[in-house]
Amino acid sequence: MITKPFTYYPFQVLFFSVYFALIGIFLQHSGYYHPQALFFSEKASLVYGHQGNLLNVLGLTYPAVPFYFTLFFRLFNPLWAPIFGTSLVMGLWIADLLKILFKSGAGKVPLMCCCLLFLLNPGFIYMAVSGSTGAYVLLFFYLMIKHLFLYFRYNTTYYLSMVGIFFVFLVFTNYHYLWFCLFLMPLLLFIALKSLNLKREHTTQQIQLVFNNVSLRRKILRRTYAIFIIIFLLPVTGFLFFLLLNRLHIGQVWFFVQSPYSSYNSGILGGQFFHGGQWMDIFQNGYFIILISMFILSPLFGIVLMQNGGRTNLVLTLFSVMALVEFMAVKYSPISIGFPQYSLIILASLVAWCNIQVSTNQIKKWQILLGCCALFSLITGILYFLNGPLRQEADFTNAFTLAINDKKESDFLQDQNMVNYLRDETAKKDLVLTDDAVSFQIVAMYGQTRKFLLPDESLFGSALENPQSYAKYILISNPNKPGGAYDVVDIRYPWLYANGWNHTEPVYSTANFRLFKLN
Amino acid sequence: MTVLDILLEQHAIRDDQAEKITRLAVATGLPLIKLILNYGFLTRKDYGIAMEKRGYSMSRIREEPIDKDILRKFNLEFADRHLVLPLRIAGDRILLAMADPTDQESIRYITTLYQKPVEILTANDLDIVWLAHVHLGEKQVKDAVFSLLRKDPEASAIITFTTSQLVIICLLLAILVSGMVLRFRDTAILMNILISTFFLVAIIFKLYLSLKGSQFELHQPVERKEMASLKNDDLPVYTILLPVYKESDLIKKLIWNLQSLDYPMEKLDVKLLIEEDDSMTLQAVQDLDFPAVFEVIIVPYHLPKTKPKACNYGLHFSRGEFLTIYDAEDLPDSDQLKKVVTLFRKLPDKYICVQCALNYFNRGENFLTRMFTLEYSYWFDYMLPGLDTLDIPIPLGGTSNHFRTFNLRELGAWDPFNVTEDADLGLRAYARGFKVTVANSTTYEEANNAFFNWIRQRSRWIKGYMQTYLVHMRHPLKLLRRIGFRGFLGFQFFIGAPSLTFLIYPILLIIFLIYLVFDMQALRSFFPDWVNYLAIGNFIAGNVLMIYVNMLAVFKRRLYDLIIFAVLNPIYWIMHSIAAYKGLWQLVTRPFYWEKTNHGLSKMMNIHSGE
Repeated sequence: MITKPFTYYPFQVLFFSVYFALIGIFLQHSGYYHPQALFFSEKASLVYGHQGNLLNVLGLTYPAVPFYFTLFFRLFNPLWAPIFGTSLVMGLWIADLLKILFKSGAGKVPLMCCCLLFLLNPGFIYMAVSGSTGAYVLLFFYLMIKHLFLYFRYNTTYYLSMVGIFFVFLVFTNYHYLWFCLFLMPLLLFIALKSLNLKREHTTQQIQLVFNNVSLRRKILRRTYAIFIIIFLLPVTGFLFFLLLNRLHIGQVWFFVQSPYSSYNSGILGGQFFHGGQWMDIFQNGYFIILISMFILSPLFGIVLMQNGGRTNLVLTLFSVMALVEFMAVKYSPISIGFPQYSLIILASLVAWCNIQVSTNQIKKWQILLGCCALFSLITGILYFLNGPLRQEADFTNAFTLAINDKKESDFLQDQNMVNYLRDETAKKDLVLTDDAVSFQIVAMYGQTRKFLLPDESLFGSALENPQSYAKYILISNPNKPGGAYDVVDIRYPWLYANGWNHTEPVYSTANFRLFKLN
Repeated sequence: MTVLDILLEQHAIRDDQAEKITRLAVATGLPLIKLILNYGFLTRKDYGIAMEKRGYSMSRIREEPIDKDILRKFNLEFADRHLVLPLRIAGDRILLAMADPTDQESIRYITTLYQKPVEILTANDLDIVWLAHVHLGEKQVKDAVFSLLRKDPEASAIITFTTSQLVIICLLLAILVSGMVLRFRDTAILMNILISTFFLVAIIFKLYLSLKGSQFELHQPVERKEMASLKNDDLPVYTILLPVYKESDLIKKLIWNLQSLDYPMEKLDVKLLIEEDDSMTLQAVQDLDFPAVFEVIIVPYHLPKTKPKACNYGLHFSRGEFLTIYDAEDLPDSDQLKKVVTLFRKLPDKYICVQCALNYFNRGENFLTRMFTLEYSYWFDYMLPGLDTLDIPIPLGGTSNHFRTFNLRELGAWDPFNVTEDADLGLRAYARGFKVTVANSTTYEEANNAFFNWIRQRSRWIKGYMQTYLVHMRHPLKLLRRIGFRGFLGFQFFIGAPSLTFLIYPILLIIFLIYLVFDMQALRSFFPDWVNYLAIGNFIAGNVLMIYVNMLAVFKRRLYDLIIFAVLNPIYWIMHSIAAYKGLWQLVTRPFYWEKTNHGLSKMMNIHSGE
């Protein structure tokens, strides 16, 4: 028996976290940065540097949960902070999932296969080392689903309230998941139906009975809305109040997602998500294909759906997750459909596997299926990443391949050159006027935010009019850099420069940025 | 011929009842008359008729002159037990009032005591009890009032504010006022930060406790199979104290509720505590059309006229190994007493009290009853189990708290000067090293359904919490040493914080509404953005979370129709604030005044099911 390894949950968390963190640091050393991680890192540095409007940064940076994790780990290292955050949360849920798989009788070999899946699947590695929101989504989604299944088993308010509480965290990690409310409706209705303890055996008969009886109809509606409120009250009201605070404080309800100062995923920067790639070439012809992708990336999903042990609530839970992913593909495509979303399916399938009651003589079969599916998911995950449709996933794959081959070549290395120039060739007290809506990666990599004069600062407006009185340098993005259109500094000074403004001279340039010295 | 023979002869009771009474008399050692009238065999009216038919006419002894010198020789316990009372000397005889004129044991005792033959006046037992307690109960009532004060003066609320507390309060107020005058903005910011931090910590603590409590939703401290193994013969005598004041309308209901208890009759010692001046209730007991299942104790007049004083007085006459308090309208789960006995037997001796959950049978009546149900469901189903789990002192509820009688006496019983004596007792017990736990049993009460009645009741509760806080915070360091850091923290949050929260709540609400509806620039000049943001964020989160935990509690009880009412909690909290200001005023002006809550106002008499 392998009881001991699962007795020490903190050590397992530590193991996975350290494993992912080391890969992350190695990749960063090789020049790989996830832009969202740099975005969080820059915001955290602003807080630690007491610079600009801290209230805006602390209250409106979105997604809030990954940002606060980064803020905490910024204590140790500015650029590693997002990696530490994602490594830790991945470690937390993976160790917990392995624990419940073990408790559910997964067996040694299938467990090892699952371990391999989590340790070697580039999708999971990507989420764990990127410092972006994917890992957080997985953690809160996992906890939510786990507690939902616990509620099915024990029928206590505690588990239902935990579903609601983790849903809050999920929404403050990615508000798109609020749509889950919609897709859980059939499941909740079913839970309410079952709690009526009707004598009719078949669900359709029960539904027929309930909807043709006034008293039962009233009961089921009350129960459904009660469950619905317990799960969704906190996330929905939390989100609405967050919108209200945006409205009161900034005057824009959607400021936190629309402003590039608040969210990396703001619409302005959205153009840089799509990349193309074979996987998309093959499958982009219809949303139906996304459905097939789910089954390919997580064959266990199909197996658990088919062999559900007569548990309708389990099937409905899986369907609701599937519907959510599909819906997000339709509504937010292609931004929201990447491996993080497919991994929700893998996760939900594994949790569902733990909750299928099987007879003793069938355990072996289920263990084999689990092991095979885990290995299959590992292989399809690798294939997916080799041909991933999203730019960031492709960037990761490239960076990984190059790092393994000991080659350093990326956009971020170019940015690093700019940072090195600023560090080596400019005096420490010389300020750089820039707009961190676009140049956040430079600010993040530099680490010391006091070097920069940023839009959130009270002097910025004056500095924009009369830069030489406030700063020594101006950092602007190149026209081909995505998001450059938003950059107020970028818009103003190249025009002035081109029209004969003789107070500036270019001193350094990279693929993404240009640095001007003010005379 | 005994009284039983007379009653049999007059067909007032049946043979089987007579046999049962005889058996009970042997088992309990109580006089026959006590059993007949107090254990559900015969109404007082029927008893009077039967006795008169047999030639014993009932005298109105409360109109008879009484010789106090004669009474002084007699003792209250005997009078109360045997329902006899010597009134005066008439000629060469002692005029003796007796409920059972055939009681030879009492006659012999009186004859020996006074060395005179007796002349018997057959009287109503309630009149005898009234006279006996009023004329002989002085020592006992003084004990009830001053016992704790003598034993542990520091624990008594007879002094509301100590000198040092007054100095500190005045000093803090002086600093606040000076700050407001000299540096208004900075003082306002500091106050805002302090209040916000306090709210944040309190809310998180409450949420944590609620979740902790809800984790034990499936935990049953006593399981059915354990109860099934209980044998009636092994059960101890159980005292039930029923303090009432001007609740004549509830007496019939009280009997119904008591009769539904699953506990052997001979092991029950039920005491209805009626104040000396409450002739209405006494008359209602006298006029009952069906047999009573309780013994009446008259509480002699003495200030303060509070429920704890009445309970202390009743405790003096209690026979039970365990003791509990119910209100007149309470409807406990029928197996509650057995459950508590089982639990006490499982627990170590240091457990002095088992608190059962309280909830309401008339929850669907109006807004107030619904809100009350939400509040109690949350408090008893989530908070108390949470406190229990974390070993934090539990502020006891007003009723359905079951005690080991010996330990209760040892502790000094209730503080008659404290208007939330239950909360105070819970803390005092904890400080003395005793433990309190909760049982999986519910008592259904009548939720207050009238606004002004509610305000009266709640102002008393809040005033009592303030009293309790002041009493135990006389020596904060000593308290910290006695109850530990966790207990101290719990005390601050559950006894101290609620009153303060209710006092502050309307102020915060007004600030929030100004911020929301009017131009917030006016506020910004006083508070920097970050403080405002934090405070309002806190305020919103606090309201939402408290609403949420209320919802959880009624969800647990399957009271789905109440869930939506939880969103009306802010209105309910405003009512709390009104009551808090009233309570604060009374704390200063009339600290021991017991705001009487009128019961029996509800038109609903049965428990409504979850849906």
